[in-house]
Amino acid sequence: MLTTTKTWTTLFLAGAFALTACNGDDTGDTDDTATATATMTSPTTTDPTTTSSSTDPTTTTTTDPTTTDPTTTDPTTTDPTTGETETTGADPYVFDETPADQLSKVDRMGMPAINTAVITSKDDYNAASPADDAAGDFVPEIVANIDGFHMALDGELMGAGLTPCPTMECVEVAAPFVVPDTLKLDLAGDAGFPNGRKLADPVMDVTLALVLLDIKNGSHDPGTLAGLPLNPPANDKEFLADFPYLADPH
Amino acid sequence: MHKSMRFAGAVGIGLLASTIGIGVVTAADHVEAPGTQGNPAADITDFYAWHKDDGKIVAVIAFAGLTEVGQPATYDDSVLYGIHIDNNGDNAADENVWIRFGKNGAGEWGVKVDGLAADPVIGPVGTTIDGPLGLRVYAGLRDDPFFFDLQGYLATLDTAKLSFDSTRDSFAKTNVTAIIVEISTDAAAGGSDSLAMWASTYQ
Repeated sequence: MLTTTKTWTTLFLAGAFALTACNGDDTGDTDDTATATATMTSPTTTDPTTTSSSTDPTTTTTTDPTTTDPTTTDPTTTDPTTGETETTGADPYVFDETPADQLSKVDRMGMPAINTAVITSKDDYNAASPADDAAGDFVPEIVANIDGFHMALDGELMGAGLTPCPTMECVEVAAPFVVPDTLKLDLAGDAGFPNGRKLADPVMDVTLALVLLDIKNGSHDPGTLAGLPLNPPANDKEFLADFPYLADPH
Repeated sequence: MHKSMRFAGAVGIGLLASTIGIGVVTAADHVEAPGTQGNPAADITDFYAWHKDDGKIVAVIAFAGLTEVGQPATYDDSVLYGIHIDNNGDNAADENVWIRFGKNGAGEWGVKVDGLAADPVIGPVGTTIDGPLGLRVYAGLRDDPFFFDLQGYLATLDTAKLSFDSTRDSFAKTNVTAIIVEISTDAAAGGSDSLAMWASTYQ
């Protein structure tokens, strides 16, 4: 389940370079624009029903009404005033078609724990983008929150035989994974947190180790707390070997 | 980590006592931000993404956390879910997968998945749907895959004493609503070995 210490070290060394690049990156505005463009264009370019309704609503009445498969995407009726499109069939599902750029962003998530653990302006964070993260918008509050953990817990950690990190060293180790707030996948390597996130990965103990313990100088590795373990090491239900992977509901 | 855990709120024992306060700490169960409170359909509890050796990437958005046993899944046709993929390192999405829920005349929920240059895939919730380009979709009520001693965590921050119990999973015997998609790695990666992925909700 846990990657070897050697692999961890390699990952974190690579991460340190990424952090340096992040700090020197002053292209946030450009990235913002790119994000907005991708968000705005993707729904319409990948959904032919939206295109037809916005350009010529009358053509939708000519669609073959004999199709009955509810899973087909051919429209029989399109209401140009609401943008809602019905699929064909005896009892089609009706979906709102409003694209993302006409909606408000409510939530976002990449890495586990970031907003919960180290962000203070939570709504602003949810409304922001990975490009904003990379521009450093939230770094000051991330540092302040990690500092808060150490003020509260360093004595306890040492009492438990663990070596806490100086705040800025923990920031240096953790930041490449936390900023920007995305899951990073190296397709050439084996999957498993922090190379992506699998269902069974002990992400909380790893995250706590990154934030609390001296990894930079080798006292610990990111698997130290998971090795205890500090938190439950597994889910209460076994995951499925095949799709959809998540266990049936209780 | 569940974003529902209010890590920063509990850290009020440290720097943030005056700015975060009691309200956030006592709400340490569900949503991570004021803007997601009372909006479980749009409140992402966890995001997972991993690549497999069969040329597929699996992505999971879990939401509506801490759904009690016996309660139904949470669907809201006003929420747009996005899975975003940056495959050239510029922190902007190069590929997007968009997911919506909608009802039919009988009041049954369906799910629609757009993206990766394929035609939209539409089908009922609670069943596996196969689409073009290897796209595979399931949306419905599942066991919450997250495991963590939230109680011990909060106690640790409240008391400044390490109070974790590795036999205590605060998310055991609770459910979430989840969207699980399996996509073609080739379609997502654009030839790159290095991807960044994240999820978002819009309303």
